[in-house]
Amino acid sequence: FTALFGALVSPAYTTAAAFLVLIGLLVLRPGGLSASAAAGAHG
Amino acid sequence: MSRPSMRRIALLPLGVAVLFAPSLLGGSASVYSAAVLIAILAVMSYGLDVIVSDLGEVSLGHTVFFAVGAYATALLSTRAGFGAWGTLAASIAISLVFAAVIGLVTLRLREFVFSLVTYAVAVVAMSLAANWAFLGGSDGVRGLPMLDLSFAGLSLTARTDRELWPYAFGMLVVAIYLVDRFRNSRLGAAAIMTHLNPRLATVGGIDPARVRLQVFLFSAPITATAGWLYAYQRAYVSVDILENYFLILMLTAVILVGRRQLLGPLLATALVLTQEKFFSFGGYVDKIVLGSVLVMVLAFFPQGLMGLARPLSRLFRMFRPAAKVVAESKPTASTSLEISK
Repeated sequence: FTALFGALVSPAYTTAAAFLVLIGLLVLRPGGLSASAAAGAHG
Repeated sequence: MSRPSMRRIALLPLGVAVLFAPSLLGGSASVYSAAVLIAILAVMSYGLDVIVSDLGEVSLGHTVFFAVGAYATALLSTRAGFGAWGTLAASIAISLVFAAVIGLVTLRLREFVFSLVTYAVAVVAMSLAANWAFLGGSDGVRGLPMLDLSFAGLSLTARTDRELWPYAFGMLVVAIYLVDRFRNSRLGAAAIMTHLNPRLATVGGIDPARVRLQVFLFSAPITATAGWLYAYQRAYVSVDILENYFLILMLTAVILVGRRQLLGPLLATALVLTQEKFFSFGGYVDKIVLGSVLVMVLAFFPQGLMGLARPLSRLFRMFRPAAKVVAESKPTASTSLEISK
């Protein structure tokens, strides 16, 4: 995954890209990856 | 006359005192510099105050709106020749776009997850600002012109902090007025209801998601306007505007005096910056002091300094009954007359 990430994203923007992925995951799965999309969004 | 109107009138003499405070405190360049910075960073904090105190959510990404205001101002004034009114309008408009996007993305998120996502947005913004040549990269954007709000033949310019102070004060007054109006509005009431009990708010006909978005859209331009003036004050904008220092300062300003205190963010910002400017311990120690203040308030004074008022008044009342008993035991003229009858 890291190698693929490094191949797709310029080194200067890996931090931004990683956090964008995190944002996407948290928005789509606020309850965590194991929870369903309809699971509670409370932290 | 309504209570909010009376309160606003009572704030007038205080406002006049604050306006003339820098000149009364010596009028030196450092005093005016501190006063302008206090006003700018207090306005920045008022934007977050609405989200934290009224909506009950901790947004860790509000530095993004501060940066949007500053960068929009820097880029448009140096590369497109925009005047101050134009950069102000652009800062507000662009901050609204960002707030709409971030607000829609975080619509379903609450508490910890909401805070984490907003912090992730700030990290993305910092990474872009540091590396993207369009935003000046790590060098930032330099050479901003002086603030010029002249119109209709009226010259309104500011080269120094002394000349900038009336504009900073005016911006502060407008921000406080807007926050006060918000808290006395239906949106403000809806925000409180959404915060305290979202299910009950829904039963009462309030759409919590819509209220959250509207409050977000209300708060962002306030913080962005602070960034607008900050850019003119420094004449230079760089990625350090997205540093955690500004986030910690905003959070401290919101909670130090107490939640939903109209002058709370202003007083707290004044306290923190006065220590940094005039009682500095130097270097990183001031940042340690700021962080320590935040931790101590959260741990020991969760209601802020205003939370100390209740125990102090209780302490005062402990001594009052003794004085009352002594006063009541002394015979008055009327009681003497009744006894003699």
